Amino acid sequence: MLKVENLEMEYSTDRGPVRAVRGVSFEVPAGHFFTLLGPSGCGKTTTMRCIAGLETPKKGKITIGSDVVYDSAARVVVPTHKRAVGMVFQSYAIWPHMSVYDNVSFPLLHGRNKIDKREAKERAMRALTLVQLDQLAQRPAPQLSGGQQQRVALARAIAYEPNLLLLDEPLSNLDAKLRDEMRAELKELVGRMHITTLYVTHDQVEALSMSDSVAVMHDGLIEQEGPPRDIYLRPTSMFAANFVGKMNILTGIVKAHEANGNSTVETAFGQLAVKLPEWASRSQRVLVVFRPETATLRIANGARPLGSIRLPLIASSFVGDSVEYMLDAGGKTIRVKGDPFTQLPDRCEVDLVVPPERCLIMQADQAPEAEASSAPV
Amino acid sequence: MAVRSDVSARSSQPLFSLDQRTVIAWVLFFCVAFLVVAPLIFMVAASFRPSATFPLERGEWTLANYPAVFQTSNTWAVIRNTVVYSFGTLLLAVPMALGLAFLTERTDVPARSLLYSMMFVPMVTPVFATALGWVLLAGPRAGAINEYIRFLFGIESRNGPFNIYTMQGMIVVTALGIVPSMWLLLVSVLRNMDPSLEEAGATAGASRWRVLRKVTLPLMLPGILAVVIYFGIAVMESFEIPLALGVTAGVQVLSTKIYFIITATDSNAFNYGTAATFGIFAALLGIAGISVYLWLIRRANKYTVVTGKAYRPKLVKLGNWRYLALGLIMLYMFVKVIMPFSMILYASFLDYYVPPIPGRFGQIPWTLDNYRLLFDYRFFGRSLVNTAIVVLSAASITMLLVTAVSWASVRIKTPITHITNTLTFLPLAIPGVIVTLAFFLMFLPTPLYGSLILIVIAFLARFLAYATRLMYSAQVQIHKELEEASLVSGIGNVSTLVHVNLRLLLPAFLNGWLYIVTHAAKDFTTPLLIATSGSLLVANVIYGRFEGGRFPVASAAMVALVLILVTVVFIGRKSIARSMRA
Ligand SMILES: Nc1ncnc2c1ncn2[C@@H]1O[C@H](COP(=O)(O)OP(=O)(O)O)[C@@H](O)[C@H]1O
Ligand SMILES: [Mg+2]
Repeated sequence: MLKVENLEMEYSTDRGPVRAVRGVSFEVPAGHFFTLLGPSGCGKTTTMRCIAGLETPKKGKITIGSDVVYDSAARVVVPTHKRAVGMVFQSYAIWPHMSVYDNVSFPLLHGRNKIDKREAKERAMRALTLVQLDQLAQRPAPQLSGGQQQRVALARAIAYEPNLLLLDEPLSNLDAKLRDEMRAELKELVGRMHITTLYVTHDQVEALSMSDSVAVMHDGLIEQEGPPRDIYLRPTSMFAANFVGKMNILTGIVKAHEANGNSTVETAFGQLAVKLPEWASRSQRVLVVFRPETATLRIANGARPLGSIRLPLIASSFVGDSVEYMLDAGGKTIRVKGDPFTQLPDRCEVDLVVPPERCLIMQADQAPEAEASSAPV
Repeated sequence: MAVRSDVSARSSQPLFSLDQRTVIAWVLFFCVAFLVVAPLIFMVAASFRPSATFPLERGEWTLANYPAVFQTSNTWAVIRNTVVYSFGTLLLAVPMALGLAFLTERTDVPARSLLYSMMFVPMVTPVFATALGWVLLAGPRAGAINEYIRFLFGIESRNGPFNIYTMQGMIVVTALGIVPSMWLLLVSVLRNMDPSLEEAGATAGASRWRVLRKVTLPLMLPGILAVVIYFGIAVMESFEIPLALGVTAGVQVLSTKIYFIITATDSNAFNYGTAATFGIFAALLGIAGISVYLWLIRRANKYTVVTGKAYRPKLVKLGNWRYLALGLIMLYMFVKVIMPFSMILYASFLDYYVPPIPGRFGQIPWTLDNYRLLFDYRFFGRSLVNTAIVVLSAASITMLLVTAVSWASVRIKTPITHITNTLTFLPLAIPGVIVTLAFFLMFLPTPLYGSLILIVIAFLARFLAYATRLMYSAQVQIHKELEEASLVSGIGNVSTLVHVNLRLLLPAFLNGWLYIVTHAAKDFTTPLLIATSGSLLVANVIYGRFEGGRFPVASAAMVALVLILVTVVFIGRKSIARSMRA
């Protein structure tokens, strides 16, 4: 449905060009919910604006449905208003001189496929009913709350039944409670309409809980793309691992690499049982990466069990649904989430075990970044 | 929703294709350059031509005009007069305007909101009307005040004691005239100051007057100085009162000097070179003044409120002095509006002017003929129609042009749109007389000279700066995503501009339009300089009778003009208020 190939985009500013998007490719099948996830400034909005035709890219090709809307090689640029997309802006961009109803019906009456007043009214009211704003149809737009504005923007974007819906951080301007509510509602609504959706956010919870597929963006490039489970459980880059949730990193040397899975990595604190990827070989320096919630701790008692490492517990904090432990791994902090009902005493030695299949092994040359991003946030 | 958009970065924008945007940018550049740069080139060219040649005619060039300007007998007197006139006016007007601004903005003087709406009345009335009124009040022979004083004190002389036809008279009338506009700018200086700075002073334990002296005043000083300099330039270049009073007084200033050079009727005085040279000096003065003004404004803006909230600092409690304060404000209104206007109204019903003093009431020659004359189409109707055509076209064309220029400079953002936007500020530095003179020189050899079109073009150039400032700040307030949302939802370029952009700009557009209509209609400078017998405006008709000493006819025409203006402003403001609500 949507296909983006090698998209590049540069802004020219007073201080020279800014390379906002540096070669992005992805494809969204019809009816899918696809999310671009990444920190602020990584080029998500720019990518979306290129798709909508609000910016002219430097290079690449964009196809919506069967229409090529941009192709640098063939010099095709379809203007925005002919691209049949619906978009919700981060600012919502509700026209302040119109009522709620006029905001939604205006595109129907003056847009690409003009329809008559009666039908426009029917469709506008249907869209407003979908977002539960039919009661407020006649209210002037400036008198709406943030959540209501967001719904009007959504109703306006879906009323003319676009092929593709673009949502740019639609929840980021809402307060926390409303955000949670709207997240579920939005997902349900879009799912019901079977509309192909491109969603942009910097919030991993939104990305993971709503999407069929997530692309993690960093510095104008896509780092990893896949279903939410893969993104969270099998990050392929240090950046993706750290941006989507917290990660622990230990350096070690491959001690044994056995086909039956009995592989181990020797760290400064003991040997960990792991599952090694194909590329790893004996004596190679690797990174052992695992999430705080995958590890289990036990108070050290006598000899260290096989496949575990022993570390001092330096601090813990009770956060309700779990206890967060901080272990000292030679100056680096290892975080572990524990069961709230059993609290380990502070200042003791603990043995840490991670199930081998839940450990990720990465090449050690990613280490500098790992150091940088594993600092406590 | 109308959030300030990020203006620091340049980027490609969606509205219109890249090529279309380039075309738009260049078209606007040429329009503005034609209005702003071309006339100046003509003026510079003219200053290097010997007498009896047109600026761009073939023939010789000369440097002689420059030394000649300083060799003519009265040049130094003209410069001295201009300086005395400007400083004298400021000396009188600044304390009045500052006092009024302080009283209306920062004290609990009674009936404040009424005062605010009253101040707009003197603003829409022609400067020339005040001059005419004061001639009737304080003319040396038949001025009503003089007659009264002579009558009451039994003075035998047929002259004085007051004489409006003097430098002092010019200063008083000009000062009274600029106070309302000055007051308006000073009020915004007072209002925009961040009150927390003042409160910090008060919290630190300083007394009220100490805070005023040590915090408020220093903070406002750049803003106030900027206003003073702005009006200093305006007065230095002003034309109407020096013409109405200075001619009889024998006090010539720069602007009237230029006027008399170009309107001189004796055959061999066809010497635009000298006029252009004077014009260049005046323009340089203006540019220097405006540079200082802009520099001060930038400093003043550092301390202004950025929240945009209409925050009102605590008002100074005046106690019983409030009534004195109110009295002073009323006195100003009386002297500025009521006294001159009652005289004009009175005179408009006379056959010939007789001052209304006891003992002569029986001799007053009441008549309605002056008003009957106004219905004579060839005398008044034609000039009224001309004026309407000129001011309505000037206002509409100016506003359409500056809307496009502001849109382009906010949304297209290429070097060319930036230059265009900067160029629109140039007329701010170059006074009306000079702008008009430049157009006069540019169009003299063309068939456009003597047509209404030339007057429209001159007004366009004169109001360009003000209108651009207004529309630019309105445009910056409109988030570009409002336009983009329209494009994304399938609405075309033109529809988007009309239904979203222009619609949101409508209040600012109408405000600017109304401003230009009223200010062009009450302007005497441009029509007196370039209208010819085929293109007379109301201003020409009034000045013609005034100059010929036919005060009653001039008064009747003035009454009609003021009534029309007040009505237009009244209806205009109402409909703008309605368009804002919608
Ligand atoms: N109009 C613009 N002009 C110049 N640079 C821009 C503009 N818009 C965005 N950028 C820059 O491009 C990069 C990507 O921005 P953006 O796509 O808005 O990021 P995101 O939406 O992921 O936060 C940033 O470095 C940003 O500063
Ligand atoms: Mg963004």
